[in-house]
Amino acid sequence: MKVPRLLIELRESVLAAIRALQANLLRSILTTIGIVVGVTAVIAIVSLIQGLDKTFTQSISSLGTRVLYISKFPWVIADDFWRYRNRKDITLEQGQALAAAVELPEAVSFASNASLTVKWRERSTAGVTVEGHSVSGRVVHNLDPLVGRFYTENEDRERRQVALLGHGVWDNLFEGRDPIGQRVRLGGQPFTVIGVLPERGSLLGMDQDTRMIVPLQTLMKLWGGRRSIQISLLAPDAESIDLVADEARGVMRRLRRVPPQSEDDFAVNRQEMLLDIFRNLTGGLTAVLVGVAALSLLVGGIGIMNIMLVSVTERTKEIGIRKSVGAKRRDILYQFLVESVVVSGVGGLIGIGLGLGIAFLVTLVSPLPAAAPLWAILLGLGFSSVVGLFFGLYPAAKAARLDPIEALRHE
Amino acid sequence: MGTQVVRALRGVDLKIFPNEYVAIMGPSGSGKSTLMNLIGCLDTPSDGQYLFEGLPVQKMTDDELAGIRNQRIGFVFQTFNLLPRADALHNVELPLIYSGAPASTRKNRAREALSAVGLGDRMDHRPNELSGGQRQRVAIARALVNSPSIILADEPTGNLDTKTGEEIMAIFEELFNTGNTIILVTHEEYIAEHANRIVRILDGKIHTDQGVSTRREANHEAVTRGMFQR
Repeated sequence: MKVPRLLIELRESVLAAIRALQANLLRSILTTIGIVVGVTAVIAIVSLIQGLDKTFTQSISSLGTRVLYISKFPWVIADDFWRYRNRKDITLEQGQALAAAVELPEAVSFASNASLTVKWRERSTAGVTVEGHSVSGRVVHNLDPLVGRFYTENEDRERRQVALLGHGVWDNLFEGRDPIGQRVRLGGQPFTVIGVLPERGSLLGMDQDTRMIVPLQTLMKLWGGRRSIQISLLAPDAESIDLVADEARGVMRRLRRVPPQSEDDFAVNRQEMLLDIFRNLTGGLTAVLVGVAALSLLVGGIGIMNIMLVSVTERTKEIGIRKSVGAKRRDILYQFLVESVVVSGVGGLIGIGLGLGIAFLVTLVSPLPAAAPLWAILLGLGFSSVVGLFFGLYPAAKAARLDPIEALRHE
Repeated sequence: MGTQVVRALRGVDLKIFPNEYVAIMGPSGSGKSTLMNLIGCLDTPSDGQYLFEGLPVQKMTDDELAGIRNQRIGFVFQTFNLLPRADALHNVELPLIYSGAPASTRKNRAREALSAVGLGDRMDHRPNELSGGQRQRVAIARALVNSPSIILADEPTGNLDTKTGEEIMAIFEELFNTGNTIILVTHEEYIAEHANRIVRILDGKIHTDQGVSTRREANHEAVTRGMFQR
């Protein structure tokens, strides 16, 4: 089988390149520093962004893509909050009126919360978020208990003191023992445990398992008759959420007597908003990434070109020898191009190694699961090779054009 | 080189036939190096004609010249001119790489050539692990590996002591006896006398061109018996 000449020379050139690299190891490594930095940055940052993305979307999926949240304040207050100071609370009556007036949502629920200490026998947990939900909250917020039962409309109306434990609270106080029927003290008040919620993990760093669910009207009677409530609407599907939002806005404005020209005196929040903010954040990170990478690759490329020029000068005699035994111009060009691609390729590999190392370190010290996607690794390798090819072209062409007689006479 | 035109050769008319052993002699500055470069297709004449095996070299492209150097000419230089970072085997197979031979063929031919010059046991040595005489033998093996038409040697013993020099000249003698064409360029009389024709150059022109009256032959028995295993 006739092996193509270029392939034969490829192997020879790669071997020669590796030998040349070894001969001047320190210099070769310093040459590729720019490329190493660029590729390391790409790999590390992309891994972190992937990790953030995964964590984030996992977290906020618990908010549901079908749920609208109407509350007094928006989730993210971008400018000064003076605008919102004078807003009136949303009352339970308003909420119930809204629920009666809207037709599109599948379900409507109301909620409010407080932060209290929970005690059982001699154990206690402080800072527990006690959420008061209407019974419809079970459907809207996916609150099916792991064990036990949810409370009834009756219990809500009669302001019974019953509660469901968050998984973390159950763990802390009961350590796996059966809590059903036990009496706990919530902010001093006695409550009977009727159920336990499944484990939820954390939402944006906030632990969702250190909480308790009680009937809304019980909560309001005991701790907050004048609190603003949050109204949640469950749209039939993700696509109709805009329609549900429009309908609800209209009804709320009417109920709260907002003049036609004024803006809403309440906020309609949804999961999408958080996603938008997140995308902006990662978009910013990505822009930084692209900038850093481009700059380093440029620096790296110039470095490669310089070192290859030096290399060509140093090996002028060698080029003369090769030409005297029959190397054509393109053979020499080829050899030095391969060499610069090998040098920059090695830089790329080092960069990938470092980038993966950084990403791994991050997973060790933080809850972020940083994972380097294959496309980023291939991109890093590809880019570094292209830089080597492009910036190595001029030195290689210079080498190819050397006159063999002059070259043999060199040094 | 500046604005002055330097003519190294001013009209040279030379014919060399197969299986001749020619020495080109002249002092430094005589133009013998330029003549050697022309014969070896490293350079082309600015004026005139050079027919190599009937082909007009003066009209050839760089690539075509490189092809001739690869296939038909074997160079041996005064300073050996080996690749310093490659071992003997790799140095010898270099012309075969540029002629596109596959690896197994290359290695075999290179090994044969190295054995023929008596370096069968040193193939994996690098130039800096070899003596001057051994390095020149590697260079000769490299020159032979593509079975060239002519072997062109430029002061091949210039960097060697007298005894080693005689060993090298014995190799050339053997090559001549087995049918090769040897062209030797030197300024040393006693080296030139190994050839059977001496062309003397002076000031860019051929001064004399005649057969050698008393030919100095290399000491065959003592040297070659040890080197060439048949």
